[in-house]
Order: sequence, then C-alpha cells, then structure tokens
Amino acid sequence: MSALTASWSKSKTAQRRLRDALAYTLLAVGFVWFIFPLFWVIMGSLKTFEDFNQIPLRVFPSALYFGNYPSAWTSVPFGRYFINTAIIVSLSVVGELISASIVGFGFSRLKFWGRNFLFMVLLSTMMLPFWVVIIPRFLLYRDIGWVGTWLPLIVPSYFANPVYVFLMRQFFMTLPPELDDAAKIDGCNELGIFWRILLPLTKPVLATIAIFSFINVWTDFVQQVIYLSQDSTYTVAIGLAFLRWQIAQGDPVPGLLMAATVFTSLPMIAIFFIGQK
Amino acid sequence: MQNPRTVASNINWARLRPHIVGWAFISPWLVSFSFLMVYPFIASFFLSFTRYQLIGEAEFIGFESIQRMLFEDERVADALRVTFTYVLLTVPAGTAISILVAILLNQSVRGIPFFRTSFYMPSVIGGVGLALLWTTILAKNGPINAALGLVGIEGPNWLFDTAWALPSLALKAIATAGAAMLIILAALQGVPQHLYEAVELDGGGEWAKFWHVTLPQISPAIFYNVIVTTIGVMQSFVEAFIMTNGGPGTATLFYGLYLYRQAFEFYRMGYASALAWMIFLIILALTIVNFRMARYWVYYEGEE
Repeated sequence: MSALTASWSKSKTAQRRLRDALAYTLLAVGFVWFIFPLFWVIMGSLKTFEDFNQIPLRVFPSALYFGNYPSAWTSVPFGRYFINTAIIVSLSVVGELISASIVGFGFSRLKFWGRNFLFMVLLSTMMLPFWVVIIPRFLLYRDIGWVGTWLPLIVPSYFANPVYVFLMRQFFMTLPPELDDAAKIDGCNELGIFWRILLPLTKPVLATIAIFSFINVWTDFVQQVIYLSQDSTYTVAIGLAFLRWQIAQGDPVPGLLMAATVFTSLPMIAIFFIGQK
Repeated sequence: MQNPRTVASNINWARLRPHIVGWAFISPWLVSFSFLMVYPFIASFFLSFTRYQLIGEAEFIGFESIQRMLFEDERVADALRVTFTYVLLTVPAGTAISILVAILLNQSVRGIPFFRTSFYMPSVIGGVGLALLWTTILAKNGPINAALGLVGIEGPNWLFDTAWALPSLALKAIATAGAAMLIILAALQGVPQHLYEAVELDGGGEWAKFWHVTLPQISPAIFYNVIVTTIGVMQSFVEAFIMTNGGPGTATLFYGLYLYRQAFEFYRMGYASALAWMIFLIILALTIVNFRMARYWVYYEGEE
C-alpha cells in the first residue's frame, strides 16, 4: 500500500517536472519572439556599415562601434525634438490626471440626473473611430488658429479622455462609501471629499494613467503629423519618420536608423520600468 | 410667516444641488464630448455632401462624393480589400496567440514577472519606433531571411514584395499584441479556483478544465479584445505610412492611409469626410455583428 502511494507521488512529481520543462521551453520561445527584434536593433546600432554587408549575416557587431549614435542624433535635430516632445507629453499627462480624476469622481461617487445614461454614452464614444472626427476637428482648430501649434495635442487632455475616466471610476467604486459619509459629517463638501479624502487614495491608478498617457502621447504620430507643420515644433516621432524617409531615398546607413530607434525608445522603456514597481 | 414661494424655491435649490454638483464634476468631459465628439461627428456627415479644399466656402455637391467613393474610385475598393484582409490576418491569430501567451504567463513557475515584462516590452515602444524596429527585422538582408537561409529557403524582400508586404505587417501586429495579452491574463487570474476543483471531483483532466472552466470564464475578456482590436486594426495607419508607404502598388494601402492622403495631402476635406463616414458605418456594422455573435460564445455569470 505504501509502495503504491510512493510510486503514485513519484509519478506526480515527474508529471510536474515535465510540465515545468514544457512551460519554460514555451516561455523561452516567447521570449525570443518578443525580445529578439529589440535585441537585434541594439546590436545593429553598434555595427559599422561593413558589418551589415557580411555573409553570413552577423548577429553581433565585429567590434563595438558607437559612431551611429552621434550621427543619428545630429542627422535630424533630435535634441530640439526631444525637448518639444517632453513639453507636450508632460503638459498632457498633467491634464489627463486632473480631468480624469475629477470626472471619474463625478461618475462614481456622486448621484445626479442622467449619470448612468451619460456614462453609457461615454463608454460608447470609446468605440467611435478616430477618422470620423478628425477632419472637423482639424477645421475647428484651424479656425481658432491652433493648427501648427502644440495646442491641439495638449488642450484636449484637460477635458477628460474616456478611457482614463473609466479607469478612475472603476477605482473610485472600490473605495468604501463610508469614507464620503464620514467626511460629510465632518463638514466636507464634495470638493473636499474629492481632494482631501479620496484623491490621496488613488495614487496607484493615477500612476497607471500617467504611464499610459505618457506612452500614448509620446507615440501619437498621427495627430502630430496632422497638426504640426514647422521644424521648430516637431516631435521625436516625426524626427524618426524623417530619418526613415532619408534612408528610403537611398541613404544607406541602417545602423544610424537602428541607433535612433534605440535612443527614441529609451524614455518609454524607462517609464515602463519605473511603473513596474 | 414665510412667503410660500421662497420656501418652495429653497427646497428646490436643496434638491437641485447634488445634480448641479454632479454635472459640474463631469463638465470637463461634457465639453470635450460636445466639441470634439458630437460636433465633429455631425459636421463630417454634412461635409460629405460638399467639396471643400480648405480655401473659400464649402460647396454643396449632393451625392457626388458618395457616388465616386462607391462606384468610381477604384482605390477605395483596394483600400477596403487591404484593410479587411489585414483584419482577417491579425485579429483571429492575434487573439489566439494572446490567449496562449496569457495561459503560459499564468503558470506557477519561477521567473514569470521577468517574462511578463519582456513580452509586454514591444507594446511599450509602440508607434514609429516599433514600425522601424520591424522594418529592420523584415529587411532583405535581415535576420528573418538569415534564419530562413539556414534551412535553405531564400526569403523574399518582405516589405517590397506585393504578395508578402501585407502578411509582413500582420506579423508585426501579432508580435506586439501585449495589451490584449495582459487583459486576458488578468481574466485568467480572476477564475475562481473552486470551479477547477469541481472538475477534478468529476474526474476531468486538464483539457476538461480548459474547455469547461477556463475558456467560458475568460470569454468576456476575449470578446472585449476582439471588439477593441477589430476597431483599432480597421483604423491602422502608422505601419503602412512608415514601413511601406502603402506599397508596393496598393498592397498595403490601408483605408486610414488613403483617407489621410485625401484629407491632408490633397486637402479634399469633403471627399475624405465621406470616406470617414463609410469606415464609421462599416466599423459600426462589424461591432454589431460581433455583439450578436457574442451570444453564442461569450459566457456571463448568472446567465443560463
């Protein structure tokens, strides 16, 4: 009887081991699939022009060559584009945080006429295609003289993005309603409840929204390319596109493009790792 | 003795107050909803019946743009064909892969946080950077062709080959479906453990657990992903704009790219508005079909 149990438990651990081995194999495949492109670009950014033309293709550079980085940095005025993008992104992130938390508070902690209906409307606007609103928006911004400036990229952030409102609302709903009641007894009005009681509790979701909106605004190429028209206002994404078109027109330096891809991705990777904790 | 009128109005104010406060709190959204959603949505409908090239007045031309779009402009048909093919290439495969990867990340083995971070990394880079990254991967003398060369296959020049350009973009889209993966992973972690125990009691194996518990439980998350990615992929733009410029020929002429060119390269605002309304109606129809089909495969707690 005991021998039987022992062999049963042995086969159970063997099964478990097999399972783990299979999981790790698949995880390794996934790792290569998702990370290899990034690895390849980093390696490529350190290759000389000659390295790219060798057969068979080399994975690692023949020697670490850092020259691609300064040439990429100066081939397009990336310094200015980085400053421009940082200004646009930081002002937008502040706006998203302020507006999403105010509106999210309204939709979750206050009761008023039309609340549920309006929230359904808000959710359904998330499905409205970008292309169906972009042309009148462009004309509207042109009429008030905003086209060519950063305003169309920044100002809408202060008027509540539905996705972030939804996130804020879901988080506010998890907080106990007794908090509001207690604050009310202490003589707090709605603004006080929002600002002093609830907002300090929403730090985790504010951090999430900050990271999402940072990445979304930084990579929002379509709107940048539609609204911006002068070199002095251009962004990192537009700079990268310029570099791409230079290369497409026969400027044969793949290492340069790869170096630019690496240093323009660094802010996103950094913010992502900061967000991990 | 107070005037009854004043009393009535006092009571009304007290009653009205929470509603006013509520509307005040959501007012930032009401502003963007009115000016950046409702107004443009309606305006683009009316612009569809005009000719407007940014100078002078919009000129009413009735159904001319719509007729041209539906029956005369062959590029529109090309763009629709490319876009639908792209949806079919990316949404089912992307969904399947994000489910598989999420299940993999839900295993109780060591090092999962590391793998989760690395799998999500490409989605973080996003936009133009990610498009450029994949441009170098798919280059004629890039690593994919080098790997194929090792097994004796001579790979095509992916992005410049009429047959391969669109599948190449689809491959890039599938390899970067990090957000979908995380949503399904969250759903997996919410599956109640006792359901698995119930299957075990009935003598069911791993497959039974997956088929009768996991899949129904995560089906709302899968459904959400299908809706969101279909809507997103129908509007794709950056990949084609950066990686292929719509080419070769019209092989990767996404609808979004064609619309962008009409609006912001040729300044045909009226025609582009008609194009925009057509893609809106198509996306709406697809979304309705998706919701209808959900009845047959999406499981909601508390339903029969």
